[in-house]
Formats: sequence, structure tokens, C-alpha cells
Amino acid sequence: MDVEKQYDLFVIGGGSGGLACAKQAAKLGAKVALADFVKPSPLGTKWGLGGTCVNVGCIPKKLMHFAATLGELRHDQVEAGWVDTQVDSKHNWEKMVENVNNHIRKLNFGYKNQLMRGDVKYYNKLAELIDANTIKLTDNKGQIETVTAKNILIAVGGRPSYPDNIPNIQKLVITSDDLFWLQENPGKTLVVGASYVALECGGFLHGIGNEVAIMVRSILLRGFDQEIAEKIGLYMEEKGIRFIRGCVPDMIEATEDNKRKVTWIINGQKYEEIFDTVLVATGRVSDTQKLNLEKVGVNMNKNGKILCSADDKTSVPNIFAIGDCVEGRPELTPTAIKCGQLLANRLFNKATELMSYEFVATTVFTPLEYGCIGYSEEDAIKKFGEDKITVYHSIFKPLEWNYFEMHSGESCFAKLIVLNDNRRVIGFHYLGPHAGEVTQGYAVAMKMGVTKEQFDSTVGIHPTCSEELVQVTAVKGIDEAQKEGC
Amino acid sequence: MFRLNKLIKSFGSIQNFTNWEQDVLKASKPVIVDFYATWCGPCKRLTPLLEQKVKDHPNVTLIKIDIDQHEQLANLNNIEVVPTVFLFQNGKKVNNFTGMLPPDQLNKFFDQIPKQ
Repeated sequence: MDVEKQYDLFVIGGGSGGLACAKQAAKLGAKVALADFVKPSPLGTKWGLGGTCVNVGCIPKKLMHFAATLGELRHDQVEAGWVDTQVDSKHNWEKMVENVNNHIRKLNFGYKNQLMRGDVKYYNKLAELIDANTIKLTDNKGQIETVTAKNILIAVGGRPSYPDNIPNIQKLVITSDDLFWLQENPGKTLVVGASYVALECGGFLHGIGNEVAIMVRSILLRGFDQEIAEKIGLYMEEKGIRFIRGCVPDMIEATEDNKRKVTWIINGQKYEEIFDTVLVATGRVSDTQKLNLEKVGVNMNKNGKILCSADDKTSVPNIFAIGDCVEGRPELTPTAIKCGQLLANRLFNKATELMSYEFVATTVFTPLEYGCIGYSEEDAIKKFGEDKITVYHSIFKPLEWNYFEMHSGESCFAKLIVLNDNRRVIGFHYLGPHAGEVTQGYAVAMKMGVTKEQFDSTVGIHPTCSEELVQVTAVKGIDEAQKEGC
Repeated sequence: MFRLNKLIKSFGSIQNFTNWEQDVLKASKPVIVDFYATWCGPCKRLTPLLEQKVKDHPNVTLIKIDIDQHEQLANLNNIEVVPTVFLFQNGKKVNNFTGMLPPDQLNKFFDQIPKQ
């Protein structure tokens, strides 16, 4: 006899993907439950419903990045006439973090309400699979309950990983899980890593007035266009952020006054320095270890990322997975959300549309921001061949940067990668202010298959930075990127 | 004795919350329950106003409840917005409002609470 299951869909993980799928499924009439439980970081940091993006990712990051850019604008303010602006005033970390944390708690509350109003049963408990239809839920007091479901969605995301060569490292360093909830300014900080997390965090910490060094093992922003990645690094260096390249920490120890002594080796030479805080941002790991997936038959790669087909199915027919915990997916909130919604439509509304990851726009919020869509130059060459593409490039200076003379005239950069045979723009790269706002609209055009000629026939808005993209004519390898004259 | 009673003016009081049944449902005087959150800006502005008006009103008790500290109670009362303010009389919800109220509406809310 087929015992009826309590839920049509049980979602494990209340982040971007899990929440989107749960809400959409319930809207379509399914009986849905969602379990979200935050395991505290090694230093004890924890947070509420909403996942990485809301609590320890995009949201606090963008707010802190904004705080840093506001500080940097003080010099421009003076030159623009606000002559009484105090360019040396100190940033108050506590004030910023209180406002950021309050906003996050507002969002946590909002999500809880959305679930309640959307008829999604919310369990603030740690979930584990007993079998393909049974979930064990444990609360923070250790009490256990069991529920059954027809379909299960795993959307548990990931957590920061730690280097494995340093004893007791988890208690000596902070990660992005801790940074946004620190009640005190982290002070002189060593950021270990070259990911966008490392560069964004190092960037805003410096922007609010902290001494920052970034330790990079090899290249910056692996996977992104390397010409732009190096320009980002150069801009940060020119601003005063120190890069320590070609090494990793050899040793990290606590000093008597609770600072951190870090040792590293370059070309056989040993270096040592004291920092107030070490922030590790060397990668993230899928949070699937304690779910009991092997026993249930859900296949993962050796890094714990779940293997799924294009329709988000795992190796077990009624178990699905989306978001950061799945192999091959971009680690982005909007893709997890869309993927979750489309999955709910397929499960409960007979829809067939699969998630497409083509031409997904994204932005890195480093001190000089970088927006991109589609292929990096390296990936385009690898896929199509250098002779099959044309690269257009341009160096430009935002008009507003002409108040304060210390702004560089050569830092901002635009690049378009065009496929020769059909003239389609397959790579869009913008390095400059407001990169997120500039880039978003172009993603619509690229999804529609826009050509370089259509770009060129589009009239620019003047005076903006964005208009550079519809005016770029210099060809890489033939013309210089810098325009001559005014 | 009669004259002494007339001389002693009543003031509303702010009470620490301990128990829903005792403090709210079984209270002899009308009770204003202020559901607030520490992260909520309008709550921070409303609560002092409620406290002042409660002190000036002769016959009401104010109880403040932090929704993060008392999640189950907040869920039981379907709190979806903060601040949410209820007026209880004889164990029943007789009035309520959400968000920050302009002064004249706040006055009206308090005028409707029986003075004895």
C-alpha cells in the first residue's frame, strides 16, 4: 500500500534557490515545507532565514562596498564645491554594521512572513535524509522529528573552505561568514585569496580606511577575463592596497595581544608580519556532508557537489538539487532563483522550460567595478579560435572624475568580443563606475543575439560611461584602446 | 478615605512581560501590547511615544514584546509587520494598529481606552 506522503515537496535549504522554489511550488497548489538551519561558523557566527546572499553575501557586501565608495567620494565633493567636507574623517564600523545587520534581520523577517503567507511550512531545523522520501529534522535543542515527502529539493548552498596546511586555522582566521557580523572593526587585515570575495572584501575594508594586504597564490579572479582582472588588481594597488603575490600563508599564529603573526615564503625567502585580522577567502565548499546523500544514492563529485542533469534531477528520481551545491552551476543568486522557479513550474504545472545559463550577466564589486556578460577573451579564443573573433576595446574616463585630479584617466575600460561570421556580440566587459547598473540592460540585447552593427547603430546617452559600449571602434591588435583628442 | 482617593491620581504603567495569560489575557486593566523588533526603525520611534502616553493615561498598562525573543508568541498573533500594537480588554483584542501612527491618530487610539 502506498502510504500518502505529508508533503508534495520538501525543500532543504532556505537560501535564494530553496525559497524561490518553495514559494513558487506552493503558489501552484503543492503542499510544501522548507527546512533551514544555519550551522554556526567555527567562530560562532550565525544568522537567520534567507541563505548566503541575504546574510553573508551579496546584500551585506554591496552595502559595505557602498559605504566605502561614499568615503572615496569625499575628495570629489570638495572639488565640486563642498569645500567644508572633512576628507580625513574616520569611518565608524559599529554604525555601519548595526545598520547592515538590522537590514538583514528585516529581510529574515520578511522571508519568514512570505513562507507563512504562502502556506509553506517552515522548519528551523537541520535536515538529514533517511531515505528518498523521509527527512529527519533536528532542532537546536537536539529534538528530532521525521517527515515524509513525495519530492525532495536539496538547495543547501555552500560555506567558506579553509586551507588545510595550518593548525587550528578555523579559530585563528575569519571568513566572509564572520566579516559582516563583526561587532568591531577588523583593523589591519590580511586577505588570503584572489576570488571576487577576497578582492571585494579587501577592497571595501581599504576603502573605509583599514590597512589591507591581499595574498594571492597565482592569478586574480580565476575564470574571469584576465586582462580585466589584472586591471582591477592594478587599480587596487594604485589606491594603496598591498598585493603579496605568488604565495600562501605558511603559518598563522596568535600573538600575546591576540593579533595574528603570519609567515610566508617567496623564492625561498621567509617573510613575517603582524595583522589584526586574517580573512580567508580561498574558496567555498558544497554543504552536503551531513545530509546522508551517499546512503540514499545521490551522486556527488569528490568535492561534495551534487551531480544533476539539465532538469535538476539527481541520481535519485524524486530528489532534485539546485544552486551552489550543484556541480557546474554559477554560484549566483539570480540563477538559483530562476532555476528554482522553473523547477517548481515543471514539477507542479506541467511546464517544460529548463534553466538556461547562457549570457548571464554578473558584476564584481571591487573598488573599480566590473560588469560582464558572456565569454571572456580567453574562453572565446578557446571555444572559437583567435581568428574567428574580433575584440573591440576602449579606455575611457568618466566625466565626473574630472573634478578631483587624482582620478586616473586610464583605468576604466570597455571590451566587446564579436564572433566574425555572424557579428554577434558574445562577450561584454565593462570596467568602471556603476558597473552593475550599466551591464544589466545589455544582457537583454545579448540574449536576443545582438550584433556589433546593432550596437553601433544604437545612439548613446550623453554624457555617460555606458555610451562607450555603443561607440567602441578600436580593434585589439590593430588600434590603441585610448581615444585621441577630446 | 473618600477625599484621599480623589487626591491620588492614577497613572498608567509599563510592565515587564513575563506571561501572556497572566499579563495580557487575565489583566484587570486594559493592556497595550507593543510587538517590536530591535532592528526596526519605526519601532524605536513609536515605543517612547507609547510609553509617554501610557504614563499620562490613568488606566492602561504597556507591555513590550521583542518578536525575536518571543517568536512563538509573535507567530501566534500573526505578526507580519513591526511595530504591531494591540489593545486588550478583559482578555479580548479590541483595537490594533501597525506601523508608526501620526499624532492625532495615536491620540484617538488612547482616547478610546476607558479611563477607569
